Amino acid sequence: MATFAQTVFILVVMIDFFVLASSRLKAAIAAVAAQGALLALLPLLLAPQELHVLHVLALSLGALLVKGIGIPFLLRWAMREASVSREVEPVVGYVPSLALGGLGVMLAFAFSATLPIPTPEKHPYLVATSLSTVWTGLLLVVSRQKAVSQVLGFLVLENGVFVFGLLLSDFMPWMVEAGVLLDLFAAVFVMGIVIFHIHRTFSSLDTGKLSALRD
Amino acid sequence: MSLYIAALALLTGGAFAALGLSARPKLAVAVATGAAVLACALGLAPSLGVLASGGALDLSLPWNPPLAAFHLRIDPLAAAFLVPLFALGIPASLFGAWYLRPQLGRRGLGAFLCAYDLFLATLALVFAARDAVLLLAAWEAMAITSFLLVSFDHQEAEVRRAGLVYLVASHLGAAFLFALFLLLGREAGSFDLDAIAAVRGGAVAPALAFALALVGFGVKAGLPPLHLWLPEAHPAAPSHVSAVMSGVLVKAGVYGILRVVTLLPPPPVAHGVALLLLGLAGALGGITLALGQRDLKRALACSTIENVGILTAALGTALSARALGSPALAGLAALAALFHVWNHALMKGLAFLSAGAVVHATHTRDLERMGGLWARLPAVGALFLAACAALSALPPFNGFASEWLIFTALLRGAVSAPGAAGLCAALALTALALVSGLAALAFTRLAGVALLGEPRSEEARSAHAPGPAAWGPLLALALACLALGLFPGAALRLLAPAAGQLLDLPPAEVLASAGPAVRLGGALPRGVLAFLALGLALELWRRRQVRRRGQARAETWGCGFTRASPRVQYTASSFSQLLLSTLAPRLLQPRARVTPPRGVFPGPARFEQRVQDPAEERLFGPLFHATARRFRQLRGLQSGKLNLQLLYTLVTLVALVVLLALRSAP
Repeated sequence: MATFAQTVFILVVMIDFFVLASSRLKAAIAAVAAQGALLALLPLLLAPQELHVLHVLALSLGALLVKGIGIPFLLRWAMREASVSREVEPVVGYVPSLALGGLGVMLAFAFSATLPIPTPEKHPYLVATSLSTVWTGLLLVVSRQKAVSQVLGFLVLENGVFVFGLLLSDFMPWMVEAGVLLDLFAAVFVMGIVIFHIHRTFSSLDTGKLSALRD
Repeated sequence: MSLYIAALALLTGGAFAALGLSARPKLAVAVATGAAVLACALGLAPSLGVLASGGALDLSLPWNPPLAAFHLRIDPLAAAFLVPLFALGIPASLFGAWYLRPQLGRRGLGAFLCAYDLFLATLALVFAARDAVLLLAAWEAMAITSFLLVSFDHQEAEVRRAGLVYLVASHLGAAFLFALFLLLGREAGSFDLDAIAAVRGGAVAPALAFALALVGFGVKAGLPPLHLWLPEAHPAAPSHVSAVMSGVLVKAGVYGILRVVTLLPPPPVAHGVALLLLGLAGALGGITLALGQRDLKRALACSTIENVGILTAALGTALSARALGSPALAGLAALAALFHVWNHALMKGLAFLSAGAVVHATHTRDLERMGGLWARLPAVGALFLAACAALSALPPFNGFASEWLIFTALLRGAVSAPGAAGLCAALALTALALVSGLAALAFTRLAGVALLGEPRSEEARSAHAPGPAAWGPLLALALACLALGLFPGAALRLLAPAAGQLLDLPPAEVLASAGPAVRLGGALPRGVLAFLALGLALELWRRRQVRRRGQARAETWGCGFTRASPRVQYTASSFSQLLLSTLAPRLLQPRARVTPPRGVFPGPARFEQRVQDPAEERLFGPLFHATARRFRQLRGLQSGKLNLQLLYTLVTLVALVVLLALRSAP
């Protein structure tokens, strides 16, 4: 079981690299969807045997529905509507972002053990994977120009937070988990609206044009 | 306790029902008002019960959020503040239903009604909360709902400004409260007020805790120089909201200070003296500001600063007397202060509601456009006059009863306390006497200019009297004022446990210190009756003289001119001009620009005068402008590029993680 979880963690980090390096939005969305689906496996793999089966199942199923199916579907739809398919001219190029991502992952794996985590570790890779995924997400959000890619970055960031949340899921009340999913959904919703407004106003999804609104 | 919970539930239910019924405004007003009135009636029972028995009601419910607990307790101190809330809530809500009638078709009425009911509920929760986190949550909810109420007429720029000032003031105050309760909670290891009271503040310096409470709660109480929001927010809000805000919300600040005092070790003399000085400054400054206002409701708001000042001064006297080892004097002063809380809630409620009726009839708050309203609105005029009489502490109204007790306490202190303490009490007594005189002048001005003389504008001339739906609730309030003024004994007996709790004294001892005022038919009512008899005798003598000599009718201030004009009357500004421009301290003098008439046949002349509040012009105005200038230099950081803004977040996060990793790596 533990080796299987280890594989999942490694795959999640690999997908981080893939998203950082891909310029085609369709492939990136598919990768993020795959990452979401992989994350849905984790609660099942990491759950202590004696603990609430229903709780774990619901968490896993919720993650699969929202992260693996719902949001990627919305994003593909947004992509078609706005007819963009590629991220051109990112602020940070693909090779430098890969290098930065690699650096972040390296540091995360090196230092995750020294972080003061209040609960016992469930898996040695958990914190490191979570930190690298959060770092990748932030990197994506900062370095991409198109609104769709920024939403993708935000999703990856949330995936990282989700992994970290697994650390606490034993005693995390239901409300907080629901809050995480809801928060994500609301964020994508808002970003969707923003995407359409940018598109309609500037006939482009380039968020750089938003600076025209600066006071 | 179940009645109190039922009241909370009813208010919340009424709030959301009103919101749901927004499409049918008449029904929504009826539901919200009905729920508020019923809830206030329900809530009044347990509060009075606690005061009568001297016990306390306690309730803990399981509650989920971290660090917090749903722990309520109605002890005598809380009940002493719940009673005016519920008592004023009934007439204010009924008056509100009438006041909102012209607004029935308006958008946002449902939200307003919802906010009003929630406002009452959160106020009730503030007084009963026994957990610091719950208290803070209720406190913030109260600030936000009252902000929504203040900005009801948000089409007017002035109202939006008032709302903003109020919101900023509330939040700045709340920041101090968060600091206070975090400090106290850390010491106690729990945010439950019982736990905090058990360790008596622990290692937190009492002076620090007291200062934080004074600033944090003082903003709501309107202690100087934090009173700035009062003259802005009270005129902007609808009248029944200003009545509850001035009558109860402001007292929530006083309650907070008292609650913190009960959590800390017995306060040293310095704390009491600080309260006394702040109170006197507020009283003198507030009433002087009130004298200069042209806006009727703004003048009433300034008088709220004055009254809170008076009762804070009395509380300061109580705390210092206790620290100096004279419990009888402390008991009397505390009792008088709490009694003034009740009285001020009722009389200021009456004043704001009747001012609301006047404003409703004349469509203006400007005193210079009123006049002659006594003849046009006899019922409302009489009730407004009663409120003014009560506020200027004239018998037989309740303002006299509590201020008389405060004077008695100070006088006893001046006579009996040795050395500097006695001198302080004597000086405070003198200052309060000056305040009372100025208050009488201020309310003579309000009542005289608004009600007497000839109408100064077309609006005042064509004002029409509102029906009993408007003055019915006011009449009830006026009767309550009268009852408390004539029979203060009953109210004092009820308040004795609260004063006792504040000073760790048995209620019987507190009552004994109040002496004859408590006994029905004691010295106070007898004096009041003598005063009334004197007034009656003078009136009878006047009537006899009139009958004997006859009476001619002419315009007020006609002065024998052949063509009298309403413009020859005393104006609101000229009435107080002598005092303000000569006697008032320089800081409080209004800025006037005068172009006097010249020559034998005078040409045009001008007189302009603007009241200035030193707290605004000397302290907060420059402070905020300087801060804004500093922050403007940071504008360059705002690039407008989304990526860059996000980069700032990223850099901050990475820096924090690195810091964490470095600190935990040994």
